Amino acid sequence: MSELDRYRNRPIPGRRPQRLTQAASAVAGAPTAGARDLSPEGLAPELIELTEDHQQAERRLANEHVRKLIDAPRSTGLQMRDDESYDLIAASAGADLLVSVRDIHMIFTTGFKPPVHALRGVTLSVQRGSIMGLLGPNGCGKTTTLSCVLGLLNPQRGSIHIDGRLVGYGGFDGKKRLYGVVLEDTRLPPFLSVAESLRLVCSMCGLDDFDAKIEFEKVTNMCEIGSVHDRRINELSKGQARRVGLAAALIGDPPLLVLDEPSSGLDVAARLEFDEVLRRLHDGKRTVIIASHFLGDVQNTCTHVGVMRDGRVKVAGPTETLLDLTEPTSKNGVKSNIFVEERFLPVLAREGVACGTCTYPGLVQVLTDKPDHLSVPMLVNSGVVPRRMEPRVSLVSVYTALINEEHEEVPS
Amino acid sequence: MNSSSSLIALFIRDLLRRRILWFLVTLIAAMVAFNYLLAQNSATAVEGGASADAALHQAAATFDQWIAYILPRIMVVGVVMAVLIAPESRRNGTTQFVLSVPMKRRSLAFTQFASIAVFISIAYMIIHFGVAIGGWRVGTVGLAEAAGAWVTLVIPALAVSAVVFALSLVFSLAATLVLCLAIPSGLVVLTEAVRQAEAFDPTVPLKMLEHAAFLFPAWENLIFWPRLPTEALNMGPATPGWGWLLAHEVLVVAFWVMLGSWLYLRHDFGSRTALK
Repeated sequence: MSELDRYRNRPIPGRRPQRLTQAASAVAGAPTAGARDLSPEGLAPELIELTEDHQQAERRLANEHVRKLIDAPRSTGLQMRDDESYDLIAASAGADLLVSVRDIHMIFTTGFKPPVHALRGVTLSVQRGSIMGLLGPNGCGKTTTLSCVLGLLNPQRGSIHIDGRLVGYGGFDGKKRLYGVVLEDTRLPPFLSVAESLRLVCSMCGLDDFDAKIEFEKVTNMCEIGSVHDRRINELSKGQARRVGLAAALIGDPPLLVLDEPSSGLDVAARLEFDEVLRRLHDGKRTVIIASHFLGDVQNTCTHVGVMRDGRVKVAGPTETLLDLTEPTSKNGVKSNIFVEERFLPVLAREGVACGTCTYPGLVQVLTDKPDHLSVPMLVNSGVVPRRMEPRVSLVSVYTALINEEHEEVPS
Repeated sequence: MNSSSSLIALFIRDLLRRRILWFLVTLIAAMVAFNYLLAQNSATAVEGGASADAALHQAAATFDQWIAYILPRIMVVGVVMAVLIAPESRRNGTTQFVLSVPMKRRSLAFTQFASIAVFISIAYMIIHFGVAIGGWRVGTVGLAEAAGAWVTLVIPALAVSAVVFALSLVFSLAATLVLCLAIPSGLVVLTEAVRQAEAFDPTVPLKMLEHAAFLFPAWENLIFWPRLPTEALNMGPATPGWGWLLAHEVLVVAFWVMLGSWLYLRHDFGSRTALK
């Protein structure tokens, strides 16, 4: 029995928090097994005060447990149990959730083939104004989860709320657009031109001519698609089509943006451009959910991360928290791998800074153990401009530990 | 334009892009051929020495013969057209796109049906005009009769199309055609074959087949086309069979439309769900 299990099962005189949590979960219709719903909304109001200290203790132990999982050498074989998952976002005190997915199960039955249990109790909380990156290996259920959130799929069990509204059969149909979507394939009508597609979305969002014109100009500028207005959707390159899809998703200024592998199939330049557009969108008001395989992009772009495996969200939490779990000392300063041009070698030698070769042509890696806030000014003061920086503490280690398999990413 | 009219315009454009106009042009060509052959029939009779009255009478008989052949098959046009929109829309992703905007599923289905109903109505109008002109020329169809008969043709056609469309919202094009065309036609053929069987007592199989056929729309008995006889308008309590027939057809259509809608509301439109 693990330390966490022992903690959960321990008797507490006078309080009995375990029983209270279960009772509260039952009241709220939340799962009592598998995913741990620690959010205040998962508890009945009168029980919050009683269990607050319990929540804090549990959150701390969850953090420690996840850290142990991440830090444990692979040889120890310490792994997350299949039914184990941690929602560190819902556990945050006062979390303002825009999307709340609770214990959803999705089983696909196709003809005479055996049914596929794609989602096995996904619980996920997305904080308002955050960018949530959903990571996981192929087939772990990322796209299925997003499709359920969008109402394209109807899960057999569980509930999904967006902005307090239950996602049910038939989808939403309101005056105010609740979410915008960019699916892996753009899915805009292939026979329409870009301008026609955007105007169509404007009219489907109920905008009148005047508002539609303003909105059209706004999203066109935001996604930089002015040069392809007259081209048909099926004539666009993948990168252009993805940007047009994003523009269509932004019409009506929906509070939630759902992006399913927006970078897949794009070359490096198109990917960087798309990421730049995404970063510009993060104004703290709009909530974004991104399913992606590119851990570097997610780490750079997302404020929160959820790691999925086998149809469950194993851990979801703020990116910083997860990175801190990986290397607690990173609070003393982020350390990056710094690459500079070869022509700076004499300068670096003069300063006594060691360098090593790297795979990037024309670049060398600066070998220093100082955190970035110390090493970068030192280099700049010497007249050396870092050409490339890669965080040393990365999601790859979190991902590898939680998924228990190596991650292969296309180098950028 | 509001969202519904924009979507109807989108789907009409999609159908035009998929060359549905050629289908209509083919129907026009078929109607021209129908009228030409009817005129030829009359001209051949005159050349053979028949009087003008006799030739016209013969042409009218031929017209009735052809109509008797066309009538049981006329719903095929609506069936084939109604299945054209939903499966293709799922395949090219327009359905997923519209649902993700987001638009309610029932609104999407309504706009899709409205779009295809426009073309179905046009198609039946072409057939009706083609046949009515032929009938008028041989003197068997009056203008007033033709105008009334149009309604009894297009309403059943749209009802049958609604059935086909509702099923095509979830089933593939092939599966829908099998369900709406092959099975009912197969039942008719099988019933005839069993009726003529001598090797066994056909009573039980016939009853089974008739009950199975009861599940499918059969509007032929209610279509007064291409001319609406005045006695048909006087039908009512005096001929209770008419009311029962109509009730049966309405119930059958309602059953399939509700079944299709129920399945549609629960259908999975995942972004990577196998597209049909």
